[in-house]
Amino acid sequence: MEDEKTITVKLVFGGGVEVLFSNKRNQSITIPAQAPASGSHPSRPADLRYLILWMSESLLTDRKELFVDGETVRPGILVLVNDTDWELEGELDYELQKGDEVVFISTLHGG
Amino acid sequence: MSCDAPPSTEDLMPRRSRYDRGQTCIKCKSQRGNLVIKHTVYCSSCLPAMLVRKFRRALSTSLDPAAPSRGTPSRTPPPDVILGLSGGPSSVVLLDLVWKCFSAQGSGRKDERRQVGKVRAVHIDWSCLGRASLVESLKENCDHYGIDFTVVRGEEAFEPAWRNAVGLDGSAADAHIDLSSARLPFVPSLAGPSDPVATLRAHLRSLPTPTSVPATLHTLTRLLLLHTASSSDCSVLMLGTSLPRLSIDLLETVAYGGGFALGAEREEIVRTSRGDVKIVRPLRDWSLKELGWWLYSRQLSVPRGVNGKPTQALAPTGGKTIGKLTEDFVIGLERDYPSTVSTISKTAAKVVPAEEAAYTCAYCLRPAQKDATRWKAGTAIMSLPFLITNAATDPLTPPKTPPLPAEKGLADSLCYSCYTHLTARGGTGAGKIPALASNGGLVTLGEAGMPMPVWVQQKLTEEEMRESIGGFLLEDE
Repeated sequence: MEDEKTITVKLVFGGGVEVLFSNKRNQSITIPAQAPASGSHPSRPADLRYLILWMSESLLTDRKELFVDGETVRPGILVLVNDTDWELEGELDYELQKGDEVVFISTLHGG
Repeated sequence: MSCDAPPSTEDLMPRRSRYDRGQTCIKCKSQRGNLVIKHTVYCSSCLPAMLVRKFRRALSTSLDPAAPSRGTPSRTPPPDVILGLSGGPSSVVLLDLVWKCFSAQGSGRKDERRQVGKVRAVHIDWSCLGRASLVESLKENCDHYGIDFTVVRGEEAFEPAWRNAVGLDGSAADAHIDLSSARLPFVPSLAGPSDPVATLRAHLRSLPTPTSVPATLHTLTRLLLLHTASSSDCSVLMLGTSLPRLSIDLLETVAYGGGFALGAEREEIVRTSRGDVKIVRPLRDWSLKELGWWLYSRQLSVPRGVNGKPTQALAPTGGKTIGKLTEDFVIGLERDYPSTVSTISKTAAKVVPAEEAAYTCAYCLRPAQKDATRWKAGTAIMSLPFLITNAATDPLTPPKTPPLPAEKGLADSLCYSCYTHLTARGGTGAGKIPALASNGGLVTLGEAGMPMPVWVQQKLTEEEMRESIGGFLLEDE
């Protein structure tokens, strides 16, 4: 249930990365609208950095290293925000908006 | 800035933008871009046409560098093609592109469809080594596109019946070699006919280093595809090797001492018993982002998951293979310096060997330089006692390794890279890999030697051939 303290975004997985997320290609998640302070980052509106951290703690159950690399995603995973490369949106610093669609496409076999 | 305080935002260098110009598409110059490729921005309307053009251009260059211009009828019949499908992202993209460009349903132009003849897909199934089988998913994919699908089991490489089926010379017995001698002499098989899966496992288990296992599986896959293409009278084998994968393969080839055949990693023509097969890689200029975009925009599902690499179960415990280290390096490079990955591939394309190939390697069928094993003897320390004795008698003489023994063996028919994979010293042995440690079969090294794939056969000398048919020769009058 979304309120002012939470934000709902749609996640889409492809390229084989969905096997790390219960094999569900589409998921709708609700996360806190305000990201807590972590490391050198103060408390701030929820951004992609926080979303990846939240996903690794709440959705990933096994083999996190195949998705996460530090605070970002593993190289070889394409991230799109509303059909646009996240590099055009500020990457980790992009502030999530209600109803955003974030796509994660793996282009590697892993290993 | 003090050393003990964490850097503040002001202390950090401003991060360089990942795109050179604005966010507008460089092609149409009107729409906002959707994807950044090597610092250049493209919109979702311009991307599909650009990617298809890139695929076609690479394919045309490979198939017929002197091809007539677009629209001119080709005078030669188009080659039949085998697609090698691994089930990973790039092979799924390859299958989709081939269907889109060369089928009437995929809206390929009539004149452009003539570029290739009949298309078939082949998958090498390594499920015998413990991985999940992808056969059903791939078959569904191929059925969807209306492309014939064939499965070749990985263990067929050690199956005499398969050797006959693909038209290889079936007169010689299965080859076994003695790894304890540097010449790798052939030894008689004492075990008799055995299960091909057990023979495959014995082959991999006999490799001296864990890092040789993925490289050997890579070679076996390539040879199984090649012989399948040859036996199907297909003269072109198309692989979905992307730019980063090609760069990884090139660096690995150099690391394993395969520099003499470096050009073959990009493109090669292999002479088989039934004719030449050309291996082409039309996705060789595609970055991972381009692959990912195509997968997403075409809503393609990838049968092999991110955790489904075929060699994953064969990874050594407590360390990384050369292949894995190279992969991590190149994939990281692609994120931060995408143009450099392209530079690796383009530089390798300019490398030509200093001399003509002396022969074709019996194991990998790639060109080999003269006296490949001599190089090995001169660059690797193989016998410590010999060095100590040598140094005591003549301390000024640079240490040299002993020449290989004079006996005849497989070593004379191998390239430097394959020879290294079979004879590397100092490794912990592939037998330490948990998935290979169990015997699981009848073949035991020491009793029967190392079993070799069915295309590796003992070549008889002229004298030996004369001796074997001596009873049937007429005497000179």
